[in-house]
Amino acid sequence: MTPTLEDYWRAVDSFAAAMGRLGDDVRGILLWGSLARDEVVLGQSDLLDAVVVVRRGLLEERAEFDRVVQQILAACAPLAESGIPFAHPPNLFQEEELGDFEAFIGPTLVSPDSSRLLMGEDLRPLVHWSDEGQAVARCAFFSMKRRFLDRLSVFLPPLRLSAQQQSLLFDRLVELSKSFPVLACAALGRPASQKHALTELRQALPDLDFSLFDKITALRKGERSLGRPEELQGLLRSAFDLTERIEEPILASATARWSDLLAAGADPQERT
Amino acid sequence: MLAEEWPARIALRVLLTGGDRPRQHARTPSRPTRQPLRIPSRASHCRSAAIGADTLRRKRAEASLQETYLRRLIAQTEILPLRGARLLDGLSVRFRSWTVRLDIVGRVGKNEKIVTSNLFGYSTKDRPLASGIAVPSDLAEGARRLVDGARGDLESLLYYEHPLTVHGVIVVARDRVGSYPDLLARIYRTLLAVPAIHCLRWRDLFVLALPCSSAPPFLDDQPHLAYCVKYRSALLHGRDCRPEVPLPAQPRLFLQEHLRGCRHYFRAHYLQRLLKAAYRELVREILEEARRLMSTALMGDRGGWQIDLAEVPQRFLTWHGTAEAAKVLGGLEGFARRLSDPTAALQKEDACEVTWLFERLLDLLGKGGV
Repeated sequence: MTPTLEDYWRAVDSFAAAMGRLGDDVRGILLWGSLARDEVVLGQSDLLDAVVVVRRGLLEERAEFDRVVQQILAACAPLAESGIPFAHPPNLFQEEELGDFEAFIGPTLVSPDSSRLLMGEDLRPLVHWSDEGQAVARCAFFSMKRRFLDRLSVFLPPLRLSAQQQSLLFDRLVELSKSFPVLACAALGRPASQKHALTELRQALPDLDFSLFDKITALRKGERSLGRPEELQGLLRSAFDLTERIEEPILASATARWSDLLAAGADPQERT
Repeated sequence: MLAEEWPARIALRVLLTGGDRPRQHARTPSRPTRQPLRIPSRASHCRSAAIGADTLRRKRAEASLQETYLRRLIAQTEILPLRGARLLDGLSVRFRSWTVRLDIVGRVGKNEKIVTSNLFGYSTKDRPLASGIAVPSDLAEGARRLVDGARGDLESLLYYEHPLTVHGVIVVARDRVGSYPDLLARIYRTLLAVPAIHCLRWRDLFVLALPCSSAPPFLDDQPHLAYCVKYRSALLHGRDCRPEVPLPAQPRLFLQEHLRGCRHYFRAHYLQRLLKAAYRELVREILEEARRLMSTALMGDRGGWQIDLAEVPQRFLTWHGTAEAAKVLGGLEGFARRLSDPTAALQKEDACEVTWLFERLLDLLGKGGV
């Protein structure tokens, strides 16, 4: 049976209540992802996109570390059996590690319309990114392209997609539609949350066609259905084309300077 | 070098089992020491049934390699050791370190329910080059096929060794190619055995030296990559791009990003493992990730690109020889010894202990001013 929105919230609330047993050691719990954005696709959206922030230095004590871990496991166990897709336990951070969020989630986590405070203190204003962290975030687009998109090319014709392959490819396209806009914004030096990244991209690059992501979203929500398998391959090809076109402005971006990260090729063997 | 990779030719050995048992290497057909079929204590007619099924299964497996590879790519299991992925009905694939095992499970005869066959990479005669870099023959064959098929689109093709991922290739496309996505498809379909493929254009070579986001336990070879491309590589085709590849200006960014990835992704991952009571797997993954972390900490002038993972702890201690580092590494190495004993049981307490040690390592590296 497809879980209802109430089921999702009930599960999340029970998690927060269980974590509350750690008392003041939990400084705050933030929820992000589709539930926080009111964009849940029932039965497809998974749990648990949450960040648990514990007090400074707590994980440095063995007994405290064990206590935190055991409580998280106890809080997650019911989620794994709730009937709602359970993908992973929450992210765990100490207070002093705020800012250690990677390029994909960082801007989303601090954006009030992409995240929600589940319990404790609202630590979002304390989140910061160092210049170095932002520099790495700018490079994440290239990693995404290589690790994620390039290998999807094996799905292109002449391969005739089986039903299983269609399902697989569609899942990957959905994942792509979540990460691509955020990482492209970061690469352009205009970090944006998941909720606003596509809008930001359209403003930054008005000549490019981003309707690919609208089509994938509509398919995922069931607002339109897929015709022939070749349509999926067409979407994939559009993703490649878009990547090709977006790379040029990224490489030319004045705000995303790469030279700071590169050195001339002195031979390390000579130096050591 | 380790030369276990997905073979171009596959030999299957069939094990008749009633369940899990230690998996064994398949042998090349030409090997005189090919191991016999292992038959459990069952009726002898099972044997012929299994041998007949072997042929069928082999054909099926070979026909399914492309499918397998798709799953391997898309499920991103290629870089996630020991993560199983379902394939076709009755097929599953499991990746262990840098070898690939394809477990085939299904009915083979009236009296036999399960056959587990392993497709396992075998060592090939490596082709040493003048530079001292040995290119595995399977990879060299794949590269030749790629060059034959896409010569006009390729600017350069380079093989490199890497401490984290064994090896990989750099494929540099010409600035103007007919269809870049179709070229990518050809590359990925041809170089089946390669754990890391970097496709880019000449103008983008600098990307090889950029830090990248890290998401352990998914492996990435970006740390050390520029060094390996420049100094542990062999040109297979076209123009030599190595002089054009820069080095990272700030190697410590790679460690910072690796630490960030461990806090963000690996903590959630080890919590998941604990939740599923997968203790042995967790211990193994943590030990591997710890070595990768130390390797990343040895980037740049510390020469990490030259050091195989097995030697990393010792070299790390040379550089970071504090009492606390020695204590943490001693604890981790103790678990490594236990893990190497297949009969040694690893319980929840052990998993928690090794997780704690890993956290200490994170703390050590994070505060180490690296």
